[in-house]
Order: sequence, then C-alpha cells, then structure tokens
Amino acid sequence: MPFAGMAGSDLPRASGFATIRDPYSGSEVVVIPPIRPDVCLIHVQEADEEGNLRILGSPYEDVLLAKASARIIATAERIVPRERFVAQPELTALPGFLVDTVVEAARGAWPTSCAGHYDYDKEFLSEYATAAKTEEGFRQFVVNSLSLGERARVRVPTARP
Amino acid sequence: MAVCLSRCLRNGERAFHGVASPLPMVAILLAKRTHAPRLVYLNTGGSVDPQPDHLPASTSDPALFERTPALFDLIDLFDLAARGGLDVVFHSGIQIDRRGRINLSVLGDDYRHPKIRLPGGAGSAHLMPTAKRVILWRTRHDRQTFVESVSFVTAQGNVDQVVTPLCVFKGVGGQLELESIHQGVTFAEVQEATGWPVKEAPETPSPTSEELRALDDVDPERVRDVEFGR
Repeated sequence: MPFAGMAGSDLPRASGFATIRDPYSGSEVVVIPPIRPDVCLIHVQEADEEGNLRILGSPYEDVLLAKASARIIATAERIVPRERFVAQPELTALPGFLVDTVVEAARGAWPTSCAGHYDYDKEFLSEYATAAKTEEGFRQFVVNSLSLGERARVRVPTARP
Repeated sequence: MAVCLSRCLRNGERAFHGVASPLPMVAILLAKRTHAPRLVYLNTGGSVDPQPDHLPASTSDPALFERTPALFDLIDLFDLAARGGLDVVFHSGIQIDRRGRINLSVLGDDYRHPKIRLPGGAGSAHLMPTAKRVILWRTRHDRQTFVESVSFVTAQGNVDQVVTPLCVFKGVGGQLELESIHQGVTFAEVQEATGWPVKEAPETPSPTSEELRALDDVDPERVRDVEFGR
C-alpha cells in the first residue's frame, strides 16, 4: 500500500519497506505490506447479543485494527438490549456481523483504563513493571495476580529474532 | 425472478445490492424470511439488516435504515470487499455477455465520443472482481442485451448466476451456461433471445406456496413490479 510521508527518514530502509515511483507525480513513495492479524481482542463499553459494539469515549485505532483482523473477539463492560443500538445506529462502532465472539466482562480492560468507567491501575502496573524485570519475577507475578496457584505453568515467550 | 434470486442466496452470507435494485432488495428480504435467516443484508444506503415497514422503490431510500443496529457506508463496504469479506453482490448490465462481463459505460467504439453514453458502472468494476460471488439480473432478455461480447467491459468476475424473465444461467469456468428454463418458456425462445449458442436445461423449479406467501409478506405492495415497467 502506498503511504504518504516518511520522506528523509531512515525508518523505511531499517524496516525493509520498498519505495516505488508514483507514475502521476514522479515522486518516490513508500509502500508497506498490509498487516492482517489473525485475531483482534477489543474491549468496549457496550455490546449486544448480536455483537454490535459501542465505544463510548475515544475509539483510538480500535475500529481499524478490528476490521483488519480475520477474527474479532470483544469483551464488554455490559451487554445491553439490541434496541439500544437500533435507537442510535450511528453510535455503533462495529456491526455485529463482523464480530465473532462477545464476552460480558465488567472491568475487562483492567489494569488499563476504560473511558467513563475506571482509570488505569497505576499501583498494579508499577508492581508488574518491577516484577517483570526478571523471568522468575514475571512468572511469580502472573501466578499471584491471576490467582493461578503454584501449579500453574506460565510459559515466558521468548523474544522473536 | 424474485424467488429465483432469493434462492441464489445462502444462509450466513453477507449480501449487498446497490441503487436501482428493487428485485435484489426483495430477494434478500425474502431469503432472510425463508431459507437464510442469518443472511447479512448490506446496501448502498449503508444499513445492516434493516427491517423497513414499507418497501421503497428507491433502493437507497431512508426507509432502508429502519431498525438498523449499525451503519455500514460504502467506504466500509468497498474495504470489506477488498479484504475478501463480501460474499455476494448483485449487479446488472445494459449488455451482459457470454463470459458474464457487463457493460454499463458506453455503446460505440470511442469511449470519449460514444454512440450512447450509459449510466456508468458505479462500484461494479471494484466489486465484481473482489466479491466471492456475483449474481446478475436483468428484466430484459433479448439479443441486444445478452450478447456474445460486450462492446466495452465495465466490470467482470466471479459471476455465479444470472436471472432473467426467461431462464437462469450459471457461471461455469468463466462462461455462462443455461442452468434452467422458467415454466412456460421454450428452449427455442431462450436461444432466440440469447446472443450465443446455449444447451438444453431442465425447468426452473416453480416457486413453492411457502415462498409465494413469504414474498407477499415481504413485498405486499409489489414494489418489485417497477422493474417490469408496471
């Protein structure tokens, strides 16, 4: 996909992005390969049982990320009746036919924030940042904070080459 | 024709029609009421599964927003097709040829100075090659319409079925083959009206009484008749 900007930056070369000549203007344009995630996990304030989703607050890039993905799994602060979506369809961020799964999960964005509901959990995130400095610390933190118990196996993903 | 078009649709598919498409509108609503309740109904106006009280003659009418839970505009729709997520699109052509290519642009040799300037292809050149299946329909079936080769290719690709007042064609290996001939129509009549040699085909199964009842429920005011000049 052609991509405006990036002129003069080392990033295209460092990232392996090609350039092509725009046949209309003659200028060099960076082209990037599309990113197609297999799954998008998204948290919203309201959903209905068909999977229609409402984002009350900034949508950031969530809608774009979701549409780029092959599957969408949504968690929602609350499930509301479909009629609520029908009353104001212009507030629907993603139509249900694009959404594969909806899970009702109050405080589902924790420990990050959810606009209009709760702020990010600074204390918890600080503890995590400290613990995650070592592999063992990360393992212990996950086991403790998610109440997994000592027998749970936590696999620490290795960094990609 | 409405019943034939509805039978082209499968449960769970995402189907789209554009402007000036009363028959596809009726066909989609009919399919949802009969064999394909989970069909996703998308349209030019940009609604999702609307449930209009009265069917409009214009298929981009605000009536097609009644009881929609979401908006899905053409930018979204074209993106959906581009990333392989649109199952079915309905199109038509002033000319339709043996290879299922349509002409909605010009008649005559010179694009800039045509004999007749046609309405234009709208999104067909993008949607036909990107949708998984294309269903064509045309209420006029004669040799001016169904030609060996269109004089200008506005759009082509993925034609699965073509429904006319005389018959149904099936897209097989990039060619339109006769699939069935409607009751009361002879093979000779179909051949006479078609600009390429066709092979014999069985009779189109008649609409069932259930389908006809559902059709009457969906379109009691017979909005679909506008396509037949009635």
